[in-house]
Amino acid sequence: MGFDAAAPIYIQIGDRIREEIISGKYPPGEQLKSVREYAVFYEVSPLTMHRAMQYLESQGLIVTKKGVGSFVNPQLNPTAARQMVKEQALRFISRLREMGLSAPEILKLIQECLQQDNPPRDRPENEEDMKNG
Amino acid sequence: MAENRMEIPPMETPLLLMQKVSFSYNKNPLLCQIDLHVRPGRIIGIAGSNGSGKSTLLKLAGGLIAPSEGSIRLSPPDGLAPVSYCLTSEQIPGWMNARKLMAYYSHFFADFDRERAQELLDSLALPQKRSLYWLSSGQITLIALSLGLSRRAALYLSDEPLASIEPKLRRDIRRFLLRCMPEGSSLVMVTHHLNELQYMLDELAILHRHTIRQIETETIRRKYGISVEDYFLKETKND
Repeated sequence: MGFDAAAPIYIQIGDRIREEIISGKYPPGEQLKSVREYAVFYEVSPLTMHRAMQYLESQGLIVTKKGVGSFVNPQLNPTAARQMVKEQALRFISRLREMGLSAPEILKLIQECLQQDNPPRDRPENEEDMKNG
Repeated sequence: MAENRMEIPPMETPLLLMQKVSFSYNKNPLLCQIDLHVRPGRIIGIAGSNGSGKSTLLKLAGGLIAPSEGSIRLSPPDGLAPVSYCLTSEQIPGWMNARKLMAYYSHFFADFDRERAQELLDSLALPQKRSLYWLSSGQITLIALSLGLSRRAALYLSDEPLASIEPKLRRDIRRFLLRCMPEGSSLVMVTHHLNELQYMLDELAILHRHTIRQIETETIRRKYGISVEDYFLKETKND
């Protein structure tokens, strides 16, 4: 499992789990793997994994019941998930702006990239959620 | 080295605190004024070139040998043994097998959880009645770790659990350690496998020229922007 030096490992793991939650792999209310299971999976120390879970908790994505485990926040609604996707997009855009690209250039670049990319059409329900959210 | 000494948060009593520990072999100093602290729930790697005193440090922490100077304090939570030193494959006679070793542990350690040891051995599907002569060093290491981790202890010590073992079994051992370490306990292991353990280690302690440097691995990555192994090489290069 690879990590980079750009951010602490607990954040990199937290972001991966966050993406899994947003993508709907873990729906609201669903129990997540235990700290130990995740630590074995990512081959990181339990301490790092605890920090990753606390990070997700502080973002309101998960709730932890002591002695039971962690669950995707049952109150997490598609709008909140969409908001997080939007945050990612905003972050991406601000990075492109830092590289000196204008709004039309960014739009053109994204359109070019979308044409090159042939996405597998495997998640129609999620696309619906996105539209409704 | 002093400026890099790590702060110990006042709220967290270290499970192990070594202060100004020195050790000499036949008047030849090996370790001089070593400080090491292990807080609860940590995995710490001890690295150093051959002959730098890594195994000696581990034996001192485990109480197998006494220091020439300095203090070693173990502060386990109530009901737990202060430390469990996991045997290495060389330390167990070849005529033994997993069953005999388990009986030995039961007699020797009041804190040994025999059922748990049996469970762990079963989960590994290792031969339990075969003499260790016939097993690979990786298999023996897994047996030794199963027994060592089945003691109810606050701190586990392991001397090169990944040495001379093929990659797949090394992965099994890494995952086994993570799966079986009791919650809140700490693990200190001597190792040369810094690349494959770098995300598993919370802290690294480097033995070099009779002294020690203890540092969080996250600090190595964030502050120095290099891998744990590169940091080790940088710290131990001959100048």
